[in-house]
Amino acid sequence: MAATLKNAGHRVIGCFPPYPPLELLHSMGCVPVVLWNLRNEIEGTADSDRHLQTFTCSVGRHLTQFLLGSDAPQFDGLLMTNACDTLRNLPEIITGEFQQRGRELPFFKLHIPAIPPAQTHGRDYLEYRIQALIDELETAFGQAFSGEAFRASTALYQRAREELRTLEGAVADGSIPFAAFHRLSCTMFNRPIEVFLQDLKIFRETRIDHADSGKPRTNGLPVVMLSGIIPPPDTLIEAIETAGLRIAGNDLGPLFRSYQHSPSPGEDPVAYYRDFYGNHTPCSTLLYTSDRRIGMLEDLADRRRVQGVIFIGEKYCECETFEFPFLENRLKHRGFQVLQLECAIDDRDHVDAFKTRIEVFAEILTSQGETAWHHTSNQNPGNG
Amino acid sequence: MASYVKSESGKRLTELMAGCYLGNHQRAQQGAFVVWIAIGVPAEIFLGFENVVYAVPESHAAMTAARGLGPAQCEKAERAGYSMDLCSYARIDLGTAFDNGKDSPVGGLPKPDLLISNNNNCSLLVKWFDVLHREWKTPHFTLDIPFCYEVQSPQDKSYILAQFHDLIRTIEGMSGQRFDIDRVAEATRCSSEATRHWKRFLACAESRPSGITAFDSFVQMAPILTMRGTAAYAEHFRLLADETEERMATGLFPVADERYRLFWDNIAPWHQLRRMQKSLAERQANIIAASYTFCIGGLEGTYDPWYFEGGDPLAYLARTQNFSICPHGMTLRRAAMTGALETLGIDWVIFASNRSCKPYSVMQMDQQRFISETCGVSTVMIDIDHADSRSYSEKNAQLRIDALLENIEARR
Repeated sequence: MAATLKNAGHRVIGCFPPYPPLELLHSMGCVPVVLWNLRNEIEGTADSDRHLQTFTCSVGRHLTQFLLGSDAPQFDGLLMTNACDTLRNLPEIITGEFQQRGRELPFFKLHIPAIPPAQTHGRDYLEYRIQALIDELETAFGQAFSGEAFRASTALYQRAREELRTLEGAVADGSIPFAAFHRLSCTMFNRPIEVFLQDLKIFRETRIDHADSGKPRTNGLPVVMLSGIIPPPDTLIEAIETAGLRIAGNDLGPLFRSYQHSPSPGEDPVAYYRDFYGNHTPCSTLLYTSDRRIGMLEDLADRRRVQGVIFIGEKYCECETFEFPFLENRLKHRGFQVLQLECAIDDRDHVDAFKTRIEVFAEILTSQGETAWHHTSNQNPGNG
Repeated sequence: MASYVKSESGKRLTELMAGCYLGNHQRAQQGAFVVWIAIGVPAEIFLGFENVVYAVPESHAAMTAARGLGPAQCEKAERAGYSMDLCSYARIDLGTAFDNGKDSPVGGLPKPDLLISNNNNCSLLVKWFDVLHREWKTPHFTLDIPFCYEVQSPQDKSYILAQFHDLIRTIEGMSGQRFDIDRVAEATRCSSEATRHWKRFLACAESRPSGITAFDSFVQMAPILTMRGTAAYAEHFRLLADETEERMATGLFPVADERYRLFWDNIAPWHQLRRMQKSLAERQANIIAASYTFCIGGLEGTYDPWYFEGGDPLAYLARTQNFSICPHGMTLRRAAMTGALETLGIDWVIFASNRSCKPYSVMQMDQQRFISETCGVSTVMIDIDHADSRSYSEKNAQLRIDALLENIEARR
């Protein structure tokens, strides 16, 4: 997709996950492409393996492979935010390899203060970093920042996030399957936002507006929620749904964590990103949000009336792995069933090992269904 | 091989560390305000208070691993659900904490009133301290120290300094104690003086044969983590450097028949110190230096020291927040290592790929290529885990090191 964009004349910026300042890049004439969830985009990791040990997570290895692979798309620049100990080591590996190949690429870096917004000075520091980033972008591309353009960009992203939240409500009440919603949501990160909004419109018209009257189709299936930094492979989602589980909610990086909070459109990028990052949906990589995560999960699980939570662990993702035991204990204490699956780099093709565990989990939830403490299959869970 | 006896500084270190851990327990029992800190957190700040004790879980974990107790403590954390893929320091610490200090060589650490982490050495430290924060409902203060691809910017320094003031206000509020900047200035002077002697001790590696091994520096670095800011700390390193220089003057060298001078890149393999040192010495090889210990006291891109010359001690501490390797990007790491290899006359670099420390390890494959191609120094990569011996294969590492030595010999 990135190569296609480039060939179509767009200025394409490859962004490290998870939460780059998409609106700012867009307002300055760039198409941001977020480099995660790349399982389906690459075959093998031969180029990455020359640089990264096998104990590096698949996010880092896939990202590196995507950029260094022989048919790597031509980006106009790369951007990273501080996310984790692995990703922070990659910029120089990638630019070093590019230099060997005779390519120079601007690499923008944004340090998001990793302290609670209430703690003094983080706000001022973010202002300094945002302004520095704007200066660098202006210098690199010769395009001046415009508050008006920024407002327009933020409005587009706000609309996209609003629509995703609405669609998630349709997933929650069973009107559309999670797999379809997931596939659509992830495309937000690899195409122009204007195109994505068109896709959303088409999806809504074909999958909801003309669906059988919007009537909830809960069908009495056990209801679960997914949580993890990246979505599981499509084959695993399929395995979950095939096992008779209905995915009604999610706490996944590119999905809920990305669309749940959207600041009001505005012309001031500093004010916007103070809100965007300061009030961001909790994520294990945004260190200052960790205390809010369990409350958010419990609230979401209650609103979606789920019986079980499936944690999708990313092998070697320490940010997520550190949080699982606490989250699991708390959720179990609240009466939710919990299943933890850990996906490694080659698990796109090897989901059989998970199937039995998923099936057993489904059986537990089914047998529990009739006497579930608060779940009734006829209730409309709402869109909250 | 010349006979080599345990140094007086080695014996003194044992006493100092025992006293340090015991003293912390005693002061905590007597009502001191206890903080647990990540190693990068400037301990000198806590000496600005009348009665604040600081404990360093990473150092405790290293000591536990060096005593061969790492796996047992790791397993306790694993039983509580913490993955074996997580840092073994963290697992040792969590295992020890969950079991109230049982099986720790020093009875664990006194329970904290405040947890203080930072994220430049590694952000997982924040996650690790968060676990304790939730488990014990202990407040957790995080210092956000921006990662350095270049030399620290003035804005970064101001940001860090502002956070120090926040931290001080937090401790004042929680402990009811008043902060005294003059005490911090004195503590910073002590630390700076200790650094001066530490660098003098490390410089003993420049001689042929080397006056020290990297293993000596691994062991002796403990007070840098647990006694920073004290006069005893500075005095210990003065005596250490003096004694090492005297031993060299009298012909006492750890590997007197040294033929191979090696450099180590990564955290120490704590569970292998004696075995690896002995095995190498039998082959006339000495790992004379390590990036892990040589970086201490320096700034970004160099192992050269940066001393406190008066003025605002907090500003100095903010400037030296990137004193270790992990907060540095690859360019800075290369600059520092390249200089050291030349100064020390290194034959070979061992890149220890450490599955327990991604910040240190992810980029080593590129570093290895760079050092081989640019510095004309040969390299080898071995797999280690710094504190969990279950994830280390001595035979595999031995095989690679043997091949390395044969290769050096063949080239001579």
